[in-house]
Amino acid sequence: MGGHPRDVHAGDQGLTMRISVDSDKCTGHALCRAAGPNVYVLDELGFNVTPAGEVPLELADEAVRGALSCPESAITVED
Amino acid sequence: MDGAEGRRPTVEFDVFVQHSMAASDEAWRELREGCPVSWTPHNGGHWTLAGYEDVTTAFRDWETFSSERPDPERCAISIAHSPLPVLLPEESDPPRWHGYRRILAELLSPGAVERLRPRVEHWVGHLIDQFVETGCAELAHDLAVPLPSMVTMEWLGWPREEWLPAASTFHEMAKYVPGSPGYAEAGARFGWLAGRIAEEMADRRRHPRDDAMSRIAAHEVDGELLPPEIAASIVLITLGGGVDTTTALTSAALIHLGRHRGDRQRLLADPSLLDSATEEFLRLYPPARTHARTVAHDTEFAGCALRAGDRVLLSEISANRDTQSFPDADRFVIDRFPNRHVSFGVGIHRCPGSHLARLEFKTMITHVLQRLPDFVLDEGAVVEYPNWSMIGGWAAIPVTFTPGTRG
Repeated sequence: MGGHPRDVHAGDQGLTMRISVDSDKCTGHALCRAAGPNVYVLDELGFNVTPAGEVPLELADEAVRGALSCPESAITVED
Repeated sequence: MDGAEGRRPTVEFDVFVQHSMAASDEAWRELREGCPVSWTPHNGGHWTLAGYEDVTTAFRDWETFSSERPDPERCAISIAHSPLPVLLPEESDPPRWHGYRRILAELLSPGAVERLRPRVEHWVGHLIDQFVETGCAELAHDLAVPLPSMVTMEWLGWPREEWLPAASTFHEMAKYVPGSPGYAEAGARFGWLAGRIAEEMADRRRHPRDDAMSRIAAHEVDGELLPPEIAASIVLITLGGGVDTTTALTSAALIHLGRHRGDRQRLLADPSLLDSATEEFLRLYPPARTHARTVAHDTEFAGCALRAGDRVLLSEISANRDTQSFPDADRFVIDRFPNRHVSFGVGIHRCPGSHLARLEFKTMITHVLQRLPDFVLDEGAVVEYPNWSMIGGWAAIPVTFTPGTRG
């Protein structure tokens, strides 16, 4: 399944979603954190340092909104 | 046109004839729909990128679209022949960019900006207190112009008696068309400001204080202090970036809320809409409407042959109105999502002041809605800046409202 956040539909497969951040693309807009405060972690300069990994489905909406907020399209969210 | 050397679709496009916001918006619509990648012979000759994908691609590709000055006398990031000294870190590419950018990234990080919140709240309250009992105000002069200046000047550690003359230099430069008498006058005042920055920074090296100028003065790259002219340039860009852009955004939003009562009512009824509304104000009314770059090496871009040294104008205002990326792009949609506008730029030169700008803007709009919710715009006395080529704005936003009490 492709990595475009619009493709996300929670629930079919399991209990988690997978997020990953391309640190080469992140320039510190910090909008992911505003949209997903319980998902995304910023360093002291405002860069997204969220480790790649699984996010519980109850945070799926935050994860997807954070990814869609990124002006650099640096965040991928997948089932 | 489609020769072996690539296309060079040429249009007669002069960004400096955009004397009103409406004229500017319309000129960009025509160019975007008619010829989104074009060459114009005006203003020294330059490429113009008007579509969202092309503008964002060019902003991110700093190795092709350089921000370094090809000519020391010519501003790299504006198409105008500008008297401005070099503005760092914006007028630089990696690797030297890293060390200059680092200090602004630290000083203006989300956490550092959050610590400024009480000062922003204080100054917004103070400014509104000055007029709230009278029932009338001129919201450019009384709020949108002074607030970003006060916050920026206090943060820098600038002497208070000089806040106004220093900040107004930038307002005048943004307001007037290059080549006009007003612009020349502002340019002359610039010499005074540059001298004062040098004095203040020399003082901070000898006597550091708890302020941003001291942090810049003490900043080291590879174990060495910045040369004085580079440290001064970083202070200068915080003034240039800090005092006029947030003013322009706030002015645009106040005009919009004055003209569109429905949007104002929705914000009054549901203040949680302010976050998405802020991004939508940014998208429709980008304070920095264009930026320039210089082609670093021969390349093909969108089927066109770009040559090393060619100048390129990137249009944030036009990218933000591209219907391929923003459905119903000309309409203000208060809860638009997603909204990946380019008003703070994208790529490495993303505005380092974006977090402070959002804080200042949201605080001003929140206080205006709370304290003069029924304000009425005196439409006949609204005055726009005469220059919308790079930074637009308003010289007068007169309003009346039910008088309130000092906070």
